[in-house]
Order: sequence, then structure tokens, then C-alpha cells
Amino acid sequence: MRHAAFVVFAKELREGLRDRRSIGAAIAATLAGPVIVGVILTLLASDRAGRGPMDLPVSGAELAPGLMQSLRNERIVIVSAPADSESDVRAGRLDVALVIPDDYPIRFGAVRTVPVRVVSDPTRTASRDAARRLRDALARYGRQIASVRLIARGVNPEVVLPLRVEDVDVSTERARAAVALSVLPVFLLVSVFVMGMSLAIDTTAGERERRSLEPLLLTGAPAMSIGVGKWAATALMNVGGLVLTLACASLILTRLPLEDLGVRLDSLGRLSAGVLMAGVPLALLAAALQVAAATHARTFKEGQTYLSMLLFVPMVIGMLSAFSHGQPAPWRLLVPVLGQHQLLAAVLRGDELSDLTLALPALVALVATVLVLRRIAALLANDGILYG
Amino acid sequence: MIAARELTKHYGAHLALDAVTFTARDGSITGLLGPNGAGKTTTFRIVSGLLRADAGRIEVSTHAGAPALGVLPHVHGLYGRLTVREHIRYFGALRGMGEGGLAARVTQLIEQLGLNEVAGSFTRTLSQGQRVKVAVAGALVHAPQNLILDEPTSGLDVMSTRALHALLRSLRDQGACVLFSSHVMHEVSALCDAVVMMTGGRVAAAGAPADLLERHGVSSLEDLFVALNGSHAGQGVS
Repeated sequence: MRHAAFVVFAKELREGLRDRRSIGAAIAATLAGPVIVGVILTLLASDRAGRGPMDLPVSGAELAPGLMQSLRNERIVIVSAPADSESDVRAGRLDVALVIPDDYPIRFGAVRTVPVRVVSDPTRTASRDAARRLRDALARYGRQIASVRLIARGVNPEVVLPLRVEDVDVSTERARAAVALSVLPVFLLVSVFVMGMSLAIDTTAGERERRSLEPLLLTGAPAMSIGVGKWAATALMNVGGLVLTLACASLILTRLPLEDLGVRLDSLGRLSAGVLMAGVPLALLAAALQVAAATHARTFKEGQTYLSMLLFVPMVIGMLSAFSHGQPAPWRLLVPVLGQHQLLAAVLRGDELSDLTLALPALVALVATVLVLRRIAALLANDGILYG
Repeated sequence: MIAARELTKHYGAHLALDAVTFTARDGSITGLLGPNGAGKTTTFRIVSGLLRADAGRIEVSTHAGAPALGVLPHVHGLYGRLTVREHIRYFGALRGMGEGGLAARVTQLIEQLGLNEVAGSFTRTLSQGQRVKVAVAGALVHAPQNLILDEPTSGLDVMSTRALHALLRSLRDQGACVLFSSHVMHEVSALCDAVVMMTGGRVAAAGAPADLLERHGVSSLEDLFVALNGSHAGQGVS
């Protein structure tokens, strides 16, 4: 003889998995997060590495061979410019063009400032980025020539450089990864609320709406067993959502050129273990909250409203935490969702975590889960759920 | 046997049941009759344990080892993404039945209720008659000594109604106590060995149909129903 809770769990899971439309929608919603992160990181990486060869139409290139060589050293490929560069840039056929004036050799030889023209359309991102890259390269060449000229005249170049700003980046590679991946914990948090959402509603509010709850309660199965069975099925789906998100994120991250961002992820196994330690207890609590909220609802639609509102909790807390400038605080570990976010962010940063830091959010989530389960059992045992 | 003793129930200030007393015996079919709001469903809910009475008590006796009660509520939703066989098994498993006995019992009920052809179909694809049969199977799967059915033939076609009547008679003949409610007087006349008529939360009359007709000097249960509930009470009869 099987325990009633297991009987309910197996039935709810079976029915839930047969609801292919809801499962498909939940999987799509779950996978959207890692895919978005992947796209963002790919864009960041390509922007930072960005720096593949760039074609540059130059008018009068033959007048400035030294400058052209310097640009080639910056992986800029010099090509001949069309007759009317400005029109082509305006029309979007070119991103940027460089115009060397006819008197360049004379002015350059006379140690006079030579005006060179950078033609761009700053309203277009590609044109703006190309122009910025060109300006940086021109500025570097200009500084180099200036230094040579000063040295040739016996002047220390530092005379005209009263300040030199040096950036000292003390962040570790893993910390930089965490910054780049700061939105990933938000998606991981949300993922534990998404997958079981439909199941939680269907097994509670849906059961009330289609009037199958009365026959169920008439079986004499204990309210706690019924509640635990429904919660367990929802929790398993939520954990499944977390695992799916993690697997998808891992797949994407291992295929991204993260090195171009100057970042390196911790070992995938260690990372996954950390994410699961933070996420699984929250998935259990999320399931309990979802079942409790949906049990209060009389109809499926009402249940959807309650659980959609519940979904805002990890979203809002996650986003606020991701973009807040505050230091991680120990008290946050005692607050469900907030504690898990802090833990996930720390795991992604590759921080060394104490056993207490790992255990505290899990313990809080588990205690809260038990309390919510007791509330669910009380609701199911109250005749108001049928006739109220 | 199901015995209600002085059942009293209030919904706020409204007195829904007023010292309701009756007995439904083993080996008989007892009909609980009354207009809408008479207290039938409240009585059923108290007997089945879903509602608590303010006063009074329920006695449900059973033979040694037999499960006490099976209940088919008036509205009985099914699980649309379970097959007929899975649905019945679910209720048996929740009643604590072991795997071996449960499988055999489910097969027996499917055959007995003529559900063979749809045994592997999802319940959402069934006709109304088939749905009622599945719900009845869920209430009977653990072979209870006492069976409560709240308007089980409501919405059924003639063939399904006849099949259900045959099943109830069969259960009675096996010694079960069947307590059911109905609005259909000729159904009650044809099926019931005893009748409990309720009005305004009270038992207005109880006994064998023939005895009741003789005692009240009427020729049919419908006349008795009208006499007990007033001329306009019949508006509640469908």
C-alpha cells in the first residue's frame, strides 16, 4: 500500500506532464533567461574583442604613408574611398571614412597641425562605433608623433603630459564574470517559480473549479498527505525548471567567447553544485507558496492572478539586488529569495563560501516550507474550501 | 447502516437542519427526497464527514473489515488527463487498497459498468453518462458497505439511468446500504425500499413507500411530496 501523499504526487505529476501546452510554455519561459544572457554576453564579447579587422575607406591615403601604417597596425584595412564618401556614409553604405587633405605632406613636414576629416553618422550605432575606433587610433598616432617631435627637439614629452591616468583593475577574472553575469541569478531565481506554476494552479484552484476536490477529500486521505502530494509534484517541476535553466546556461556559457571579456568562469561542476544548493531549497519553498496561494483561489483564472503576482517577488528582489550598490549583508541570508540571490551571486563570482553561508538560506527556506505546508493542510481540512 | 440522530446545522442565522433523524438500513435502498433547500445535500455532507453538525450524531456501521462509506457527491469532476482506468485506480489507491487487489477491482468495475471500450480513454473525452459511471466507480472501488449518492441520475439518458439502477439494486442485493437523493419521483417509487422526505430542514415523513402512501392517504409519492411541501413546493421538482 502506498502512502496517500505519494499517490497524490504521482497522479498530479502524471497529469501535469500530460499538459503539453503548459509544459511547452513553461520550458520556453524557463529557457528564455539563459538565452537572453547568452545574447547579451555575446554582444559584449564581440564589442570588447571587437576588434576584428575593419575596412576603412581613405581618401588621399597615399599622402600619409606613416599614418596608414599605424592604422594597419591597429587591424584597420585601408581601402580606396569612393568619390563621395559623405553621401555613402549618409546613405548607410559606409560606416566611416577618412579624408586626408591634399596639403598633408606639406603641413606634416612643416610640423603644423594637419586637419583630417572623419566622416560618420553618429545616429547609427555601427557608424558611431567605427568612428570611435578610428578616432582612438588617430589619437594614438598623434600622441606618438608628438612625443617623437618633442624628443627630437630635446624636450621631454612628459612636459606636455602633466597627468597620466592609469587604471588599476583589482577585480579578479571571476569577479568580472559575475558582473557580466549579474542578471543570471535573477533568471535562476525566476526559473524556480515558473515551471511548477501551471501545475500548482491546476491541482488546487483548478481542482476546485472542476469540482473534483470534493470526491478527493471524500476518500478520507489526510489533508496533510493531499497537500504534501500536490506540493511535491509542484516542487519537482520547479526543481526541473532550475536544472533546465542551469543546463541551458552552462551550455551557452561554455560556448561563449568569455575570454574576450577578460573573464573566466569557475569550474562548471562547482558552479552547478553551488547553484543547486542555493536554488533547490528555494524551489521547495516556491512550490509551497504557489500551492498555498492557488488553494485560496476559487478558479483557475484567480489562481493565475495570484501566482503571477507571486512571480514578481523573485523578479523584483533579483533585479534590485543585481543593480544595487550595497554590500552583501549577512542578514539577507535570512530572507528567502534575497538570501538565495546573494548566494547565487557569490557562487557565480567564485567566492569562497562558508558552510554557514551555504546552510543558512537553505535552512530558512525549509522551515518556511514546512510552515506553509501546515497552512495548506489547514486550508484543505476546512470545509470552507468546498462550501465557503 | 447509516443512522442520523438529531442532526442540527446552522449556516449563520439560517437553520439548515433541525433535529434530522432517520435510518438507512443494510440491504435496502433509501431515498432522501425534498425540494431545493430542504437540507438533503447538507445531510449528505455531514454523513460523509465533510461538514460538521452543530449537534446530533451519525452512526455508520459496517461488517468486519469492510470499508464503511463510499460517496458520490452531486457534482463530481473527473481528472481530464487521466484515463478511466487510472482515474478509478487513483481513488482506490487513496482508499489504501493494495496494488494486486486494486487492479482486479478496477477491472471488475470497468466490466460491471460497461466501460470496457473507454477504459484507456482520457476522461475528458467521455459522454455525460460515461462520466457518471466513472465517478460511481470511484466511489465504489473500495467496495464500501454503505453508499451515498447525491442525485446520481441527474443529466443521464435512459440507458445510463437503467444501468445505474441495475447496479444499485445489485449492491442492495449484496447487502449494501444505499442512500441516495433524487428529484425524480417515479425513480424513487421504482427503486427505493424506504423514503425519507425532508422539508425546511426537517424530516417530514419516513418509511416504506407503500406505508407512507397509506398513512397519508395519497396515491403517489408525488402527491405526498406536494402535500408535505405545499402547492408551490413542486416548483423545485425537476
